[in-house]
Amino acid sequence: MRNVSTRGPVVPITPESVARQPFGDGSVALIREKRANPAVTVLGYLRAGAVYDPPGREGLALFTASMLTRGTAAYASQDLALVLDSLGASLNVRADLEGVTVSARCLAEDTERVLDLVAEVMQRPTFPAEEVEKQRARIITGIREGRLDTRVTAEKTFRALAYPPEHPHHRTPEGDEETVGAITREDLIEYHRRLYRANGLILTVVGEVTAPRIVDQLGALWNGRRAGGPIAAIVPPNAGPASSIQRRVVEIPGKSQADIVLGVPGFNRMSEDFYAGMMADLILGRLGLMGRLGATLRDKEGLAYYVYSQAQAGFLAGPWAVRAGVNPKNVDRTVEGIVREIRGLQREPVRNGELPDAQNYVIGSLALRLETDAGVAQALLEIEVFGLGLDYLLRYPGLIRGVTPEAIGAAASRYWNLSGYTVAMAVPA
Amino acid sequence: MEPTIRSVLSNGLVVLLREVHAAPVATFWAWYRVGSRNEVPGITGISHWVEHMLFKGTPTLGKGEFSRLVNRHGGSWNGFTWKDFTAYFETLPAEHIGLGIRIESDRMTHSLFDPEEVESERTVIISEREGAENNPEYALYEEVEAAAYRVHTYRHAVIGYKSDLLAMTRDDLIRHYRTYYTPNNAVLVAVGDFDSQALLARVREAFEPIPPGPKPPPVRSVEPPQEGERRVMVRRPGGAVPQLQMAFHAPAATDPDFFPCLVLDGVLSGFKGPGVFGGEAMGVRSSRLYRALVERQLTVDAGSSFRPTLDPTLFEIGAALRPGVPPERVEAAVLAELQRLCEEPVGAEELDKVHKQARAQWVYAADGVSGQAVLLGSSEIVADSEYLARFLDRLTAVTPEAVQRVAAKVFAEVNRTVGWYIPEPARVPEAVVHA
Repeated sequence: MRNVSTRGPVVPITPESVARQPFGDGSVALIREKRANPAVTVLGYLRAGAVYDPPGREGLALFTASMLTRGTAAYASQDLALVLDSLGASLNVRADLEGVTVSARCLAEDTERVLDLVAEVMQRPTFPAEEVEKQRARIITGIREGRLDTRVTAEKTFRALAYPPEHPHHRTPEGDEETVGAITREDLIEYHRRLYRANGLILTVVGEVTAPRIVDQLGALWNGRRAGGPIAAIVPPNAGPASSIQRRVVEIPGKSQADIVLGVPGFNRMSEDFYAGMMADLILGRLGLMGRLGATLRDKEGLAYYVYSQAQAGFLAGPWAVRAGVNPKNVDRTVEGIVREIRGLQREPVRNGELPDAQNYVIGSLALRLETDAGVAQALLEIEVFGLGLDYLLRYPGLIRGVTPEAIGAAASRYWNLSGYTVAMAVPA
Repeated sequence: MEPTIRSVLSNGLVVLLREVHAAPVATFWAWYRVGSRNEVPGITGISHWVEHMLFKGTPTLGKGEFSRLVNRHGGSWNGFTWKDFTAYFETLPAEHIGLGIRIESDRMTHSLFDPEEVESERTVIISEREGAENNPEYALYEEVEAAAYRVHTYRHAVIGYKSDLLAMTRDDLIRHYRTYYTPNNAVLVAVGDFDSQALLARVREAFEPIPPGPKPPPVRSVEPPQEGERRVMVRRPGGAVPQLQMAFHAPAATDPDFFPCLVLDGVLSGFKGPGVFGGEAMGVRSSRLYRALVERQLTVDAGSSFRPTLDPTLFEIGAALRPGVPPERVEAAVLAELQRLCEEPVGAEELDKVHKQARAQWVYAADGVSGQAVLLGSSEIVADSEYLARFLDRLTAVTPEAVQRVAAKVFAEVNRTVGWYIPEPARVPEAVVHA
C-alpha cells in the first residue's frame, strides 16, 4: 500500500516549501529540498546575455560564458574537467540573448564540492590565451556550419528582416565570423568584469539538500564580493509589424528539404497580452499534434513533418513565429496554409472546445513540468527572474482560467498583421 | 530505484509496474517487439510508418482524439520507432493514468488504416526523411551502417529508403500491424504514483480479452564476421567541415562482452547511462577521445557510442574536423587511441571515474517517471530482467584485463568500417539570396 506521507505534492513550489535567501551583495538563492533521489540540480541565471554585446563584438556574451569552465584561478581547463568528470557531475555555463545560465548536476554527496566549483567558474575565470583560441575556432566552425544549415539560415534571415538593425533580436546571439574573429582576450576579461557581478545572480538548488547548510555555504563563497555599478538598461527600438509582407529566400546547395520561418515581433513576458498570447499560440500551433497548423498542414494535407508556432517572450518581445520543414515544391502551399490558419485564429479564436482544452492542458500539465528536479529548478528560476512571487503557481490556474476567447482573438489580431509579416526560407539550391 | 513487479497475462502480454510516489504523475507505455530489425528490402521504414498510423484513430477514438484527450487531462504523449522496438506512451497526472490504458488497449488491435490517411502520412514521412537528409552527418551515418552490415537488417535506417516509402501500400502496412501488434509480442510498462495491484487489475480488464496472435516470424539473418576493413566516402555540398565516422562490430546486450564494451565507451567519451538511448554524457572533456582530438585542436568535437541492442551491434566513433586539418591525421589519432586500449590496461583511476559516472547516471535516471519507463521497457526487449537488476554490479566487476581483451577483439582492423564525409568545395558557393 502507498505510504501517503511520502507522496509528492501537486504544487512543489509554494512560499512555505521554498527557502528564499539573499546572498552575496544583492543575489538571491532559492532552495527546494526534495528527498526522493540522492541527487542535486543547480540552476542559476544572470542578466549578462548578448543584448550587452558591444557593436562589432557580436558573439561576446556567448564566447565569454563558454570560457568560464576553460580555466580558473584554481584549475586549468583540463584539471577542472577531470574533477567534474570524476564526480560524475556536470557544470555548464551558457549565454543566450538576454541572460547567462549556469547549470550543474551532481550526486547529493558532492553538493558542497560542486557549489564551490560553480562559484569558482563564475568568479575567477582566467581566460587562458590558448583556450581562448581553441574556443574561438569551435565557435567559428559552428557559425560556418550554421550558414549551411537550412533551419539556422531561415531563422537568421527571418530575424534580420523582421527586426531593425539596432534591435537585439535582429541577429541570433552567436555573432558572425568577423565579429567573433575580432574579439580579444581583453574583451572577454572586461565583459566578465562588467557583467558577472555579485548582484543579480539568481541561484536555485533543488534536491537532497538541507537549506540552511546551502545558505551558509553560499554566504561563505559569495559574501564580501561587491556589487558593481549600474548597467544601463537596454531600450530596444520599436519593432512593430512591417509595412508590407517581407519575403526572402536563401538557396543552399546539397539539401533536400526547405525550412520556413514566418512571423512577426510578438510580446514580452510582462505584457498584458502574455497569457492570452500564449493560449493563442497553443491553439495555433502547439496543442495536440502542433495545434491547428499540425491538424491541417501535417495531418490533413501531409505537407510537413514539423510545423509549429512559438511565441518567445522574455524581457524583450521576441518573435511570434511559425516554423516548418517541407519539400521545396510545397513551400508556397505551406505559406498559404500558415497564413490561412492565422487568419482563422483571428476570425474564430476558439472552436470545438479548444479553450477549455488548452486551459486544462496548461494547468494539468504543471504536475508533469514539476516532476523532476530540473523542472522545479526551471520553474523557480522563471518565478524569480520575472518577479512572479513564490505563490505564483498557486495563482496560476486562475490566471489561465481568466483568459477569454475575446482576449485570444485580440492578441492574435494585435500582433499578426497579415499585411505586414515576414517570411524567410532556406531552400535547396 | 524502486522495485518492479513483473506479470505475464494469460495472452502472453508482459506487464511491468513500478510505484514511484515522488510526484503525483504516472506514465503508461506500450512496447512492441518490432522495429527496423524486422524489415526486409522493399518495406524498409514500415515499422515507423505503422507507428505514425497508430495516431490516426480507431472506430471509437477518431483521428486526433488520442492527443486531445491526453492534453485535456494535462498529459503528454508520443511514440517512437527504433531498430528493436516501437513504443507509445502517455504521461499524465496520476489520477488520469486510466486514459493510457484505454488508448493503448484500443490501438493495439483497432487502429484504422484509412486510405487517405495512409497517403497523407506517406508525404509526412518522406518530409521527415528529407529533413534528416539535409544533415551531411546523417547521410554519412546511413552509408557507414549499410557498409558495416552486409547481411543483418540493422543495415538500413529506421526511417527507410525513399524508394520504399514511395512504393509501400496500405496492405503492406496492415499486414505488418496484424503480424506484430499482438499482446504476446508486447510489453506494457507503468511507472508512477499508483497502487500496483489496483493498476494491474485495470490492465487485466482492458488487455486480457485481446487474443494472442501467431508468433511473429523470427529475424533470420546473422551478420557474418567481417574479414577486412571497409571504407565509404560521401562527397557532397551542404556541410562546412569533413566528418569521420568509424564503426566496429560489437556485442549484443546479453553477450558477456557487453559490459567491458560499455566501459570502453565510457573511457573513450564518458559514460552515457544504462538505457538504449543513453543519457546526458558525463565526463566528455576528460575522456580519451576529447583529449586526443579536441584538446589537440584536430577536431571540434569527438565522441563514441555503444548502446544495448537485441542482436550484435556497432561500436561507433565520430568526429567533426577543424577546418584545414588533414583527414588522415585525425584518422591516425583515433586509431592510436584505440590501439592504446588494445595494448595497455586501463588504469585504476580511470576505471574509478567511469564507475562513479555510472553510479551518478543510475541515480539521475531515477529522476522522472518517463525515463524509468524507457529503461524498463527497452531493457525487457533487448536484454533480460537481469540487465537492470545487476547493471551496476556487472559494470563495476569489469576488470582492466577484460577491457583490454575486448578492445583487442572489437577494435581489430578487420572489424572496422571507416566513413568520411568530405564537403564538395567546388559546389559550395556563398548562399544565393533573393527576395
